[in-house]
Amino acid sequence: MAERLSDDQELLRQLAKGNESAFRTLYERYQGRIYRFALHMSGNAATAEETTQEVFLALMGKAKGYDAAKGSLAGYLFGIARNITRRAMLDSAADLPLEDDGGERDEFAVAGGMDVLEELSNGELLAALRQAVLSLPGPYREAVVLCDLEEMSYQEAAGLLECPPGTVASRLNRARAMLKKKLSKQPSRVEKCVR
Amino acid sequence: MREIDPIRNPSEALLSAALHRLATGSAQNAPADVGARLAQEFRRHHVRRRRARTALVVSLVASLALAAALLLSLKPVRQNAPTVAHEPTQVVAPSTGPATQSATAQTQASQTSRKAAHAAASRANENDFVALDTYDPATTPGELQIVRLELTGADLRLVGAPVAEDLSDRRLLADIVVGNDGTPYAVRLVR
Repeated sequence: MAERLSDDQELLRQLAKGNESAFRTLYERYQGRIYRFALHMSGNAATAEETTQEVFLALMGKAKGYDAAKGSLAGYLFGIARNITRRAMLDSAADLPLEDDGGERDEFAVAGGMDVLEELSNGELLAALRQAVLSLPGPYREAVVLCDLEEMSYQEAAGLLECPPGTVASRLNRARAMLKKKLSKQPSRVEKCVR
Repeated sequence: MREIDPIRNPSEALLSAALHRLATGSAQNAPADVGARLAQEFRRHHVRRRRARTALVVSLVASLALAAALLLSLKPVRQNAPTVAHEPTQVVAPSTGPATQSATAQTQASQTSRKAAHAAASRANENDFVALDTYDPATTPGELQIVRLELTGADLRLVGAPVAEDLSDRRLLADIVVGNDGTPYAVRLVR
């Protein structure tokens, strides 16, 4: 970890001097995580692409803006990505999926709750889950994206989200409860046939 | 991924498995053209930066040349004025007089300043002055002037002054030995 930090700093120094291979190394190291984060947060590939691009443009323009004493480079980049994603989501708030906690589909709620997941096909399941994740409020969505989808530890996610690990854990628990509730409202295959 | 016991907590296990499938089923990397675009932008960005730096050095040298030219244009007035004024005095009392002494003192001061400039440039390492790459030991004292300027640490570094990187944004006072053509020969940090 410490090795990577000093390596990151050296790469940043080289990047500031105009060394393209240093820039490429840093890009290859972080682009995947930044892209996936933005993709899962926004649910939109174009936004994820734009976010990735803006994060690295910011890095090349202000490589000296990063202060190693304040945290890791990953945290710094995720911070930029979070701000850009939030801005993009605010800009396209009208297009975001609405909370579907309403009683509209309560009639399809299955007594077995999550058992409905077993009945959904892989495609249906992923689509339903993606939608459910996107409908979570921002802080809960971030916890799910970082801890469940990016498989980060609470400690790591807490560093990126600038909050205590306990907060991440509680947000994640709450988020998972919300997800289960949303998914339990998915119509099962039997119900679809009856429909 | 968090370890969840599927027997004790089946719904949690199902959700974890589904989230894992969602994570692995999504695109893992940004499209390749994003990287290519960024690499291209990186090259453009640094070409622009290099140009800006060159322009800065050129403007700095030009301003030094201008300062030197201004000093040189003032010089004859300073030197000639006392000479003209004291010529009659010399005729009347060629030996000594207060005015003549004053004129001599001024001329000596001017010569001292030039000598100091030359000495400063040539004894670069012995004094606080640091010789720059452009310094030519063949220059004569009459061709040198010391110009005091306030510049940022970054600008001074561009000239060749030994300024630490953390002083890049600070404005520093420096004495710069310049030739008649404005070429900087040596620099000394004053503050």
